[in-house]
Order: sequence, then structure tokens, then C-alpha cells
Amino acid sequence: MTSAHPPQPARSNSRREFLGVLASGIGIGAAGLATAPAATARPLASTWNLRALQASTSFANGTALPFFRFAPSGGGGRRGQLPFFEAPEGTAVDVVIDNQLPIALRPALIGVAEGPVIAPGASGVFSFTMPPAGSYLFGQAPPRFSSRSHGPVAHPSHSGLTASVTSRPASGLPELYGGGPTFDREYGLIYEDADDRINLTMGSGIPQRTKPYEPNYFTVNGLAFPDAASDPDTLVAGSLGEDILIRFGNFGRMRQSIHFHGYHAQIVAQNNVPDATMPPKDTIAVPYLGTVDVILTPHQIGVFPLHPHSLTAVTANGFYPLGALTLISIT
Amino acid sequence: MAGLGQNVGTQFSLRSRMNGSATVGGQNIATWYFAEQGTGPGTGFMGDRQIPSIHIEPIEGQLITVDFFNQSMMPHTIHLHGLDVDQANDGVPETSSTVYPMQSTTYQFTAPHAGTYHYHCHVDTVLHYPMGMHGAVIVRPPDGSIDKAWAGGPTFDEEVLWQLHTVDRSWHSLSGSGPQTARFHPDGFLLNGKEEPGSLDDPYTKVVFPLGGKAYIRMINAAFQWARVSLGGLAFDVVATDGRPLPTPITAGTWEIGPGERYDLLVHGTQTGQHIAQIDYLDDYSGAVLGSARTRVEIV
Ligand SMILES: [Cu+2]
Ligand SMILES: [Cu+2]
Repeated sequence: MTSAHPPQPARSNSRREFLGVLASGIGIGAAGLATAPAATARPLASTWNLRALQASTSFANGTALPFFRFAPSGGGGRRGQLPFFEAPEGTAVDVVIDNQLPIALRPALIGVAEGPVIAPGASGVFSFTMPPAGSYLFGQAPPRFSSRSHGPVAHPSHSGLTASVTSRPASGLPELYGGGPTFDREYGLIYEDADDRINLTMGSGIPQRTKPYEPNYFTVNGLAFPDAASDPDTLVAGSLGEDILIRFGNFGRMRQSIHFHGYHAQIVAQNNVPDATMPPKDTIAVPYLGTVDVILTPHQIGVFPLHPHSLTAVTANGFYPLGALTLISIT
Repeated sequence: MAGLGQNVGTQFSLRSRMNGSATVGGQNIATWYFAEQGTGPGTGFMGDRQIPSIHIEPIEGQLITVDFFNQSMMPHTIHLHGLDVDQANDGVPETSSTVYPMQSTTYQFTAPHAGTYHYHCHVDTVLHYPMGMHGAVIVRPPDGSIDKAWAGGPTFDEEVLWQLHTVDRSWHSLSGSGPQTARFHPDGFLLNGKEEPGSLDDPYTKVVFPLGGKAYIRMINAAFQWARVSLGGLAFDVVATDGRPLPTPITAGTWEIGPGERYDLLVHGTQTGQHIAQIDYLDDYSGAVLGSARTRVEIV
């Protein structure tokens, strides 16, 4: 379904209840509903370390744009420019954040938990329990819109401060969630947008708001084309007939509508709620602060673009195709 | 059938034109588009407008050829959006090939599942696409019939294409992407290339069907914005998207369609009456309505 609704981040711990509703409501077979084994008696624990610092992203129009970013400094890795962490569902996680930015941070696992405010120059710990298996966005908590302020106003600290988090099923199997779709390979693609009128003020300290917010730089995993297509975690590579899980996420402000050349893909979950309403599609809506998980099963070999169809998002300040474009390469 | 069903076949010949015009907001704007091959200035959709481009109706399972002549002074291509063609025929300069001015090529593909698809130029796409270089592809069922959506799918008495498109008039004097194509500020809100009041009674846009009959609306969103569609209070069934049937049709009164998506709507004529369908184009960030296009739905 299209992102017909305002952003509705997944509610933590609600999926199994939802599964029950879904099963009784539209008659999904019980085979697909096996819940993950109950958490083991031995509690799992992880510590992830992040530094928040000023970085810069290069675009092929010649611009190097300042961004506030998280950098992994322990317990995780990277996908493109973005930190990547994973742990089994139910794990007790401590995220230790060293805030080297001139702004206060309030980390969040979107739709799941929010952490403490971490002052400029300070460190803090954000503790949460890994939610049910699925795809999550970690980042600076989005501003709470009031009805009065709702509108295209950018929160100056928002853009760029994100990481991707995968909650693994307790089963330990290569499946999206316990009893859910299985896969041979997986990728995570996070879309972001930036309005350079905000980012260009970052070098001088506290960035300023602009209104309206109208982004003119666009990235996937923090990279723009052609860099995105040469990053091993952002180029979607696989083999004929494999089931390739792509975890789409959107930490920008622009709703995205991502078009597959060469293939249709099957939506299997939206915001970590299983979703079987749509047939295979070639264009997938990924709402603001949302995640959409799809399975791509390539029927042909070749190299094909994967890009937003709101085509300003495929530019760097208008220069095409230097934005949020990557490639699919099937052998 | 609102002009559809006249262009069913396996072989199509298109040319690019950069000499079009349209009236938007009382202002004449330049358009670029695909026309049938031939002599003269050429026309786009339905032979009477120069935005969007003409449509084609290939037959499922058949080998389809699209001969393309670039009758202009800039490179162009044809990308067959959603048809899952092979890399060589994908029409993307960076991964396939480019058709230079006054050159020709032939695209070949086997038409996939019957349904609603799209085609467009993929050169400097951020500009060539909104200039009008896009059209509809309706894949007909294997028997070539024009009164059913796919083999075993719903039949209909009326069939209409709704090609959604917004215009930023300031872009229509540009020749290439750059800082002026960084931000798109729509000031024209079109349906099949027409804004109101032209869209209301456009014979290729309005939906007229009999009591007890069924209308089939094929929506293609060629805008850079989401659109929210309603049929003036009429309920409809969403039966297909991106060329594939929904596992279970969804009955709705409004629907949102993202850029590049297609949705097919089936409307049942349960009661005579006149309705005004409305396409609201939504801001990509706030969701606010930027502008609308309307047409009529009449059950007679
Ligand atoms: Cu072109
Ligand atoms: Cu396209």
C-alpha cells in the first residue's frame, strides 16, 4: 500500500498481538505465524559505542557538505557512511554516546524507545531492550510536531544523525522474524535528504532552522551516486533466483517512492508489521521515519538502477543523477 | 472507451519531439514528448495534445518491438518502466545505451502480465520527464481483448487512463539539469495534460458508464508528488498495482499513489448520478494539498 497515512512508527512489542489480529481477521495460515522461541533464561547483553561528530559528505557536483553524523566506535560496523548494529531480539542494549557536537542529542530507536538528553561535550548511555526481530532506524529523536508547528520546518540537528539497527530473530535463522520470510542475502538502504541552507551553517556551530525545508541533497546510506553504487553494502548484488532481503528505511523528511528497474519486489513488512496486501511491485513507497522490508528474487541477470521516482531526489543540488541512486547487479 | 483500445499490437514506432506546447495557468509552456513516427509536427496523447506522450497497448506474452527515432537535437531514450525488460533494452544511458540526435534504435521485450505500465525518457531524467517525455503502456491480455483487465480478471464497460502530472512552469525554459532543477515548485496540476476546466469534460479523461456497468480507471503517477484520489464519494475497488493483481481487492473511497506507481481502480455503476473526481497533489514533506485536478464520473 502507498504511504497513505502519516508516519506511524512501529509500536514496540505490538507485533505479536497484531499477528493474532491478522490471523483471525484475514485468515493467514498458522504455518506463517510461528512465534519466535521465548527468550532464553540466559539474558543477552550488548554494548554499542558511538561518537557524534561533524563530518562531511562529498557529492559529484563538487560539493562537500557538512553533516552531523554518528561514527561507530565499538560493537558495530558501517553500511556506507552510516553505523550498523545488530543483536537478537530481547537483548539488553546499552548505547554509549560521546557527543562531540555543539548541540544536545536525544537518541531514539524510532518507534521503540527514546534515550536521555546528552549535552554538548558530554557522554550518555541509552539503554533499551531489542524489540521484536525486524528493521529499525536509530537516530536523533524527531521533533514532536504539535498541530501548530506541523509543517515543513526542519529540525536543524536532525539530518544525518542516524544508524541502522537490525533485530535478529531468537531462532538464529536467516529469516526476517521468527517464522517469517527467509532470505539468502540482505541489504539495508536508508534514504536521507538535506537542505544545504541548514548544513552550511554547521561549520560555524549551531545550525539554523530554515522554513520551508526544501532538501536539495539526497543520499542512500549517507552516499550519493556514483559513490553509492560502488559501496559494497549499498550496491545490491546477488545471484539469479536468490531471495534478497532489502530493508528500506527513510530518515529524511521527504516521502520516497523507490523504483526498481528490471524487477518487481515483494513487500513483506511495513514498520515491522507483516504485510501481504500488495502483489510484487516495481515502485515501493517508503514513508518518513518508516521502514519497508521487501524480498527481491531476480529472474534475470544484469545491472539496473534503483532510485526514488521523485526525481529531484536523484540530484545533487539539481545535478542529475548525483543523488540517492544506487544499482542492482545480478549475476 | 475514452480513446483506448485503438493502439493494440506488437510493433510500435515512436519519435521524440522537443517542439511541443501546452497552456498551463494561462501561460504557454514548451513541452517535449514522444509522438508516433511520421511527418509533420506530431502529437502526443490521443493526437490532440503535446503533453503527455502517446500511449501504446502491447499484448501479453508477445515479443514487442518499439522502433524509436530521435527527431530532436538532444540525446533521449525510452525506459519501459515496470516492464522488467533486460539491461540492453532498459533505456538508461548509464547502464544501457543512449540514442543521439537523429539516430534510431529498436527496443525489444516480451510483454509481461497484462496491466498498467509507463514509459519515459531516462536522459537527464529530472528534466526530460517533467517536460512531458512520458506515456502509458497498457499491456492487453494474451487474446488482445480490450474489455478485460487480464486473463481471468475483471471485465469493464468503460476504460480510462489517468496520467497524473504536475508542472513547474519555470522549468519549461531549461535545457538541462543544474541548480535550477534542485527544487520543484509545482504551479500546474494536470490530468492527462489538462488542468481545470479542460480536465472536467476532456473526452479522454472523464468517466462515463451505464448503470449496472463497470468502469476501469488506470492511474499512473508521473508527478514528483504523491497524489490523493477520490471519486466524489463513489467507492471503488483497488484491483491491481504496478501491472499485477492485488491478492485481494481493497475497497476504498480515497487512495494515495506515489511517484512512479500505478493503481487500477474498478468502479461499479450501482446508481445513476454525476460525481466530481478529484486528484489532490500533496507536498512531499508536509502532506499539504498543493493543488488539484478534477474530472467527471457519470453513471447514466
Ligand atoms: Cu529525453
Ligand atoms: Cu520511471
